[in-house]
Amino acid sequence: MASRRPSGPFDQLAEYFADHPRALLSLQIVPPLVFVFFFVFVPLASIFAWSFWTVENNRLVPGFSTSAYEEFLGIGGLPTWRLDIFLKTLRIAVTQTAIALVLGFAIAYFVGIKMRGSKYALPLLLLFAVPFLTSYLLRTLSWYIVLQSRGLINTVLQSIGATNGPLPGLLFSEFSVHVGLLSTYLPFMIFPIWLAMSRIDQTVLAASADLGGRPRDTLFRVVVPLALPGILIGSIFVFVGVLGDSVVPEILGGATDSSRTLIANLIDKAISGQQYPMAAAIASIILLMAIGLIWGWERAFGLKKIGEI
Amino acid sequence: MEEKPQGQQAVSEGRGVSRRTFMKYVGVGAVVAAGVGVGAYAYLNRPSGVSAAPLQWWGIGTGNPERWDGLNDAGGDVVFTEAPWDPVPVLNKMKADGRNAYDVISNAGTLDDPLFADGSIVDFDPETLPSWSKIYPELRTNNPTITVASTGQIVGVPIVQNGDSVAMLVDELWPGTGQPGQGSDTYGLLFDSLTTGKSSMEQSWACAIYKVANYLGRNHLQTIEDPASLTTNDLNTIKTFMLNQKAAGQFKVFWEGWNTAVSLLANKEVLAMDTWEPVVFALRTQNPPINAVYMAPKEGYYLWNIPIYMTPKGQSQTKDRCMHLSQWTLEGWYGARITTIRGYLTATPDAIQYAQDNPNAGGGPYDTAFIQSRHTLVKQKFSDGVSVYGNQAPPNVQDYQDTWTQVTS
Repeated sequence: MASRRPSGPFDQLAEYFADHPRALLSLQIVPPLVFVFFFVFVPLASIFAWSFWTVENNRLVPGFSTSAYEEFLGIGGLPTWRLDIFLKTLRIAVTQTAIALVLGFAIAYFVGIKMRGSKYALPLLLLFAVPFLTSYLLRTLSWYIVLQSRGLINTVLQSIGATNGPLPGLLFSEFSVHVGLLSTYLPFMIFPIWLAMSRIDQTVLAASADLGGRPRDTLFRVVVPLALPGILIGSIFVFVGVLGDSVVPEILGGATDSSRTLIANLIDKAISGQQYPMAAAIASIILLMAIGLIWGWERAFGLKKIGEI
Repeated sequence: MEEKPQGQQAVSEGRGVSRRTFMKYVGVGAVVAAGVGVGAYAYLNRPSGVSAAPLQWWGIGTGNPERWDGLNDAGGDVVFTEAPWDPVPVLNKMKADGRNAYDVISNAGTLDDPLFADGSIVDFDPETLPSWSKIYPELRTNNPTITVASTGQIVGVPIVQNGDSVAMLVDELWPGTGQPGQGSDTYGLLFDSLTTGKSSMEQSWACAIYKVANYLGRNHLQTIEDPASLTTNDLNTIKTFMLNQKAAGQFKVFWEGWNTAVSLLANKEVLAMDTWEPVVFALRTQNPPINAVYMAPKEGYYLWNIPIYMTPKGQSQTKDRCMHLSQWTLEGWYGARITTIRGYLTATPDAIQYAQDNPNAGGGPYDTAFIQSRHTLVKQKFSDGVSVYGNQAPPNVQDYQDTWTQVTS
């Protein structure tokens, strides 16, 4: 059959790209690059720029002032309470990530390895996603009801005679903040780890056992290394999520241990108080920290590792 | 078999729709969509008589009667939009576009000075309202929430007011007595060993900070120059005191919002709380009723007032209707309604007479004795010589915010 000569503009365009594959590649890359530039880079760069501006007559005025950073860091004898809140948030975020990792790994291991092939594995896993069908606010408020003095836990404990009165520190404490954060962010740890584990070939696990590896050896020397990308991704999801959470501490945090204000609440308060440069400076510091984390990841494992799950 | 044109064939193979047809449909679709869009835009922006547009009232929900009995006959419709209590967003909104979007506003009193200076509200001669002379003297004269300090102009009509203090759970704090006991007449109860770990203050500085200032200043525990207008030194004093209290575990939580306030007290999570008086009313109507009492502090109440102000838009486009609305807030139905549903004082005694004459009017029933007692009680707060208005827009507002944020963080 004789080949047809292109006549319409589409055909000519198709022929051109067939002859110039690099041009086609550029055409595919440019739209997402433009999108990322305008919807990611420009907003983030704007936040960074605003952190050096000033507020005059309730309006942001372009300029260059480092006073927001100085106030945040407590430079020049200024109080360091904002920095203290930032460090407290980091501590809570690290603790929360560790708690989520221990629980999330155990659940993912049970579902992904122990229940492999079971028809109940996936439904069990999906149960952890069910709370996400409700409002985040309501989900957090439900913990308020469970943990309060006359809540479910205290009522049960008192009715069976385990306690004489409400347990102190159950609500309005760092404990209740951790409970609320755990219920919110645990699935973000479970699913990446489960996904990584589900890719581990059964024959690899069998080989470990055949070579005399005890279950513990298989767990720590086979499963954990192969699930590492999932563990790292889950950890970043939880860590970053906690850094940006203002709802849980607002509802469940208390005054005594200062657990009601994390860094995201501080940004909220700075915005409502028209301290826009301060809000931008805090956001910029968090952003720089996130970039540092990614850089550390690249140095330690390489970014290609992310694609391995 | 007839061969399709080449370009058409290249696109339509296996689909049954040629590129040309497809482009035709897209073109027709675009024209239709554009036509519908233009039509909808024109409809939504159709010219309308000024009198047909509802009055736009932007205010704190406390002043919203939720019904408009007696107003619509002459005043037309009113759209009430909830405004924040927080002063800074109010000033920003009004400066940005609020002055052109709303006809009247009713925000926390003492914002009148910066609002007037910004040109966000105007002097609309409220003294010419028919019921102006009926306003209680305590609210009409020397009221900083309706008077521009620099010029002495009256720019607002007081519509809702009260003096705030502390809600106390009597049976838990003074068990067996049924009555408030020692310490029940001072803000010191919030910082007393009786309430350690069971005390709560508001997350926002706007009301709470003045109560601490009153407590420290009036009891000569610290030097507070003027509890109604705090200097940076005063704020540092308050901050040090509050941080020490917090470190000692005095406060369970810093509360925010009506539901949280009621819930914390109803569940006995806290036993004393600086809060709004209707919280106490809500506690008394729980099942079973809670023996809650609102403190009469020897240091004085924190006085607040929500006046109605007119914007430049209201003055230029809807002044008569704005005047009519302002007058309506001074009359009987509005007064009876607000005191009944919120427990707050309105500006004239017409509310009492109205309730007596119309106990079953719309939005009722209206209990004359309750309204009378509320008027008597709240009026006393405004004339006790001790209670103070707190300045919601102090020149050093940043210091206020930083102080309280640090305390509550």
